[in-house]
Amino acid sequence: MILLVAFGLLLALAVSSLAVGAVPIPMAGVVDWMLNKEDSGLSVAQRTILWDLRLPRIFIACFVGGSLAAAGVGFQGLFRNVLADPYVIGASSGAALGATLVVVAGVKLSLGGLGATVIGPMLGSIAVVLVVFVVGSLGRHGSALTLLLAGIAISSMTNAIVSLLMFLNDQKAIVILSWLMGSLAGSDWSVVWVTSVAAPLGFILLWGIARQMDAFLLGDAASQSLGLSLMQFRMLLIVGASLLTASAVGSAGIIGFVGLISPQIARLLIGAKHCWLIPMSSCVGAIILIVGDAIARTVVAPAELPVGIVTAMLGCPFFLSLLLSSKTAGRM
Amino acid sequence: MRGIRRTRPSTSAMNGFYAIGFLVVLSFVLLAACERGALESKVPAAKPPAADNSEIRLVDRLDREVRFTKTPTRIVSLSPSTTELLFALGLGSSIVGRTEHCNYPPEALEIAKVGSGTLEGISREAIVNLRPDLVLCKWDSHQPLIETFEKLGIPIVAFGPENIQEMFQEARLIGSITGQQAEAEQLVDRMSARLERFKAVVSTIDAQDRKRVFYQVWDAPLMTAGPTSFIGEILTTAGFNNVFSDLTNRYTRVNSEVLVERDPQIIFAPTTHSTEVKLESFATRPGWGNVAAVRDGKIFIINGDQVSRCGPRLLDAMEQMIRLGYPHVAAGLEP
Amino acid sequence: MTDLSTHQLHFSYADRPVFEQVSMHLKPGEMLALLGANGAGKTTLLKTLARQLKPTSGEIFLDAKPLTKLSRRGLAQQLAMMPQHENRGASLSVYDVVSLGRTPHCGWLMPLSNDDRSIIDQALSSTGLTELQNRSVHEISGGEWRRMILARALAQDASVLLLDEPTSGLDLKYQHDCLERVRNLTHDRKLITVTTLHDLNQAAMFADRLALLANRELIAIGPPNQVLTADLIRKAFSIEVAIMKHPMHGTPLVVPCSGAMGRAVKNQARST
Repeated sequence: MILLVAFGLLLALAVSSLAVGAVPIPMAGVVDWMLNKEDSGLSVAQRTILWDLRLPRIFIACFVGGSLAAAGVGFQGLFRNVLADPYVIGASSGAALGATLVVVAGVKLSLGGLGATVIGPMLGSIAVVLVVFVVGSLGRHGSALTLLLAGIAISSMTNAIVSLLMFLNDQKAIVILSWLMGSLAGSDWSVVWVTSVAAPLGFILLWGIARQMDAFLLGDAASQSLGLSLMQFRMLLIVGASLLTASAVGSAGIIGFVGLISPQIARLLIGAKHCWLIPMSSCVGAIILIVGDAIARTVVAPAELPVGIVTAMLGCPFFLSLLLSSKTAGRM
Repeated sequence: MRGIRRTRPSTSAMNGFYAIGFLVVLSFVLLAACERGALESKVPAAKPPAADNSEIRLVDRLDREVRFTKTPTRIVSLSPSTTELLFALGLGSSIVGRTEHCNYPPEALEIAKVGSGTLEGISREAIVNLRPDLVLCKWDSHQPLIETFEKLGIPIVAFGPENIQEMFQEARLIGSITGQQAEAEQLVDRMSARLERFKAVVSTIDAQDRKRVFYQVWDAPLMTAGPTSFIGEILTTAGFNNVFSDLTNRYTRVNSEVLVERDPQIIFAPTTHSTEVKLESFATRPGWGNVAAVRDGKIFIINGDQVSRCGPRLLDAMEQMIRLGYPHVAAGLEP
Repeated sequence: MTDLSTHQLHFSYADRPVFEQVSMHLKPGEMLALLGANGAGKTTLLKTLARQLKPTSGEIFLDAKPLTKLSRRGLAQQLAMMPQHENRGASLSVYDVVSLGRTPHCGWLMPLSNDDRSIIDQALSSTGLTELQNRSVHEISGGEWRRMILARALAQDASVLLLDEPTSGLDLKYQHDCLERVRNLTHDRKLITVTTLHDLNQAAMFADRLALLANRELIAIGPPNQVLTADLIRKAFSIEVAIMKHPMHGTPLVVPCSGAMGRAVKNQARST
């Protein structure tokens, strides 16, 4: 079944990208090292690179890609619109605000090994989404349009505040700017445990309401008549998807495109039924980000490209080729 | 068992997916298996370690205490000005990694690169692979690197002088860690003496003859250097009146209107590696035609690498400025 | 076997009353057609019965239990609503949509049991959709879509069906097809069906009882020949009609008329 194939591909790519990077490490050595053999033929530097730099980076790429892709499915279901991405109700602007405040205030505290530069964006992201949700629900039973407009308005304002803070603190602006571009380069094991706890939580929450998402697609009235509680459903969906998005931006900054395009690709491959779509989309997202990051750290080595550029350039042609080859146009 | 009820995706889409997946995996395997050019430096290894094994502690620009139990002999420099400073202290052979922009002196070009100057452009893997025992990074934009290398146990020190005195201080600091204290003092003495000579020459210029100057960091958006930057410092020390002496930021955007109103008599602009600065372009800017510097043709291009790096060659840039701005006192600049 | 009754139901949007003092009692095996002019409150009443809107005052009882006391899931197990408009953007298969009808019984998390599957198959076959079950919903026609929604409501195994304009947008053949299916199912399975309709003659042909909403109240409820009178229709629709006997079915046939033609028709009606 195609989901198993996708998962197998993901594992193969994850392992093989261990051998790829600015510093060449032979694949045979990697395999030996993974099997914990005594004489893997790798130098100390290479082993440090593998364990401390590359392996956490690949884990995080996997979790971040998977999280953004699943969150994308969630928001596309909530708004019944395939153009929604995980940042549409303010998650990215909230994360930017959180990161900016942390940098500007010079906060150095850490929580269980997690730096403020991880917690700040996560909290900021959740806080802004909460504000948007509350404001959006003040309208007529939280209609989707109200939520969307509230998201746009509050995001714009938050982004303006971020720009203002950057202007007033020009010395620190560079750090903020580079964080905003999104990068997996700073990945280490402390961040891995955040993503590996928060991401599966959000994922299970979303997967649990998969059938409700199917019903919700049919419309408010239809889903209500099937016993769906709209208020509860929306809340669960937003909580799950926002948890995924917050853990992703906390780990890697704002990486665009993956959350928008992975659900589309997954839909073309496996159909729109959410209990399959959600895991498939996560696999696709993880693959895109692992491949994208491997290319980003290799192609202009020793410099690194921002990973968002690579994922856009990688995902877009692939998606277009799928779109053009599929027989039914309106499969979304 | 009943199969899943779902719409069947077209077989050509699935074939496309498998094909591309296979190609991607194949290219990865090939990439991993290929021999790529060695990233090891061609410069021979450093001097023997110092006999003195007592611990040295220093506090860097970010108030971080960094300890050294042995003299560093494999240094990675992530800033062009630091690279020049290391060479000026005689430590050129200890440098094992540099950024793309570290281009002076010419011997620096043979050192292995670890990235471009910006944070995203630097590869942590490349640095680790060089097995450094000291990494010198920038204090304002390399914080995430600091976190990584602290966790890996590689000493990393944040530098970034913002004026000449700080540059001397950092020269002494590097001297103390690397056992080059004597060379550092000599460098500082030489530069201080030269600076005093310049100040003496400049003091002969009367107050009313001092020229108003505008330093253009960038043209679009129009940016200049304020008095708190090292460029602002050398402008003032060289006897010029910076028309934007009321700024508090080091480098900031400014308004063309204000510039036209303040009417500088001289404009300095640095060469850049990307675009060529064209003298004619100044005259075409709206309102600039009446500016004294444009009318009199007193727009001078300064060597960008010298003036933009707070390093050993900063005084070369300053000398250039004095010669261009006050040619009548140029004779006194020679020792 | 379920009874549905309402008692003094009021509904208003903000300060604009929509209907007042609506009381009725429906028995199993009965198909009621809800009639009225546009804006008379038919859909609002239907949605209130489905508990999608909250009445300003009054009570609805399902089997002598107030509707408000049922959980959402409990309600969905007994009452199925077919809205007039559904989002056709989804790209699920027909089978998937129909199987969603089982969720009030099997829950949102548990997979479908064999019993569930056989109920779904039955629902598909009684709406003639067995061959189309694997098609994407994008690939079916409007009439097939309506049948699919009906199949879903059947899979829901509810004892009350509420249909909102089930015939709108369909060809004449499919309109009759749909209404006949609904009537047969209502009688065979002893369901209660409430449907809003625009076509008075269709209502007369297929429904057991008619209810007429006008001027914010239920001005008549009863068998077709009792409700479809010229006076009542004039009150509800502001149009002159003549009532004749349907040549084939014997049910009342409403013929709108005005002016000279109207007078001629009236004369004819008086003389027969």
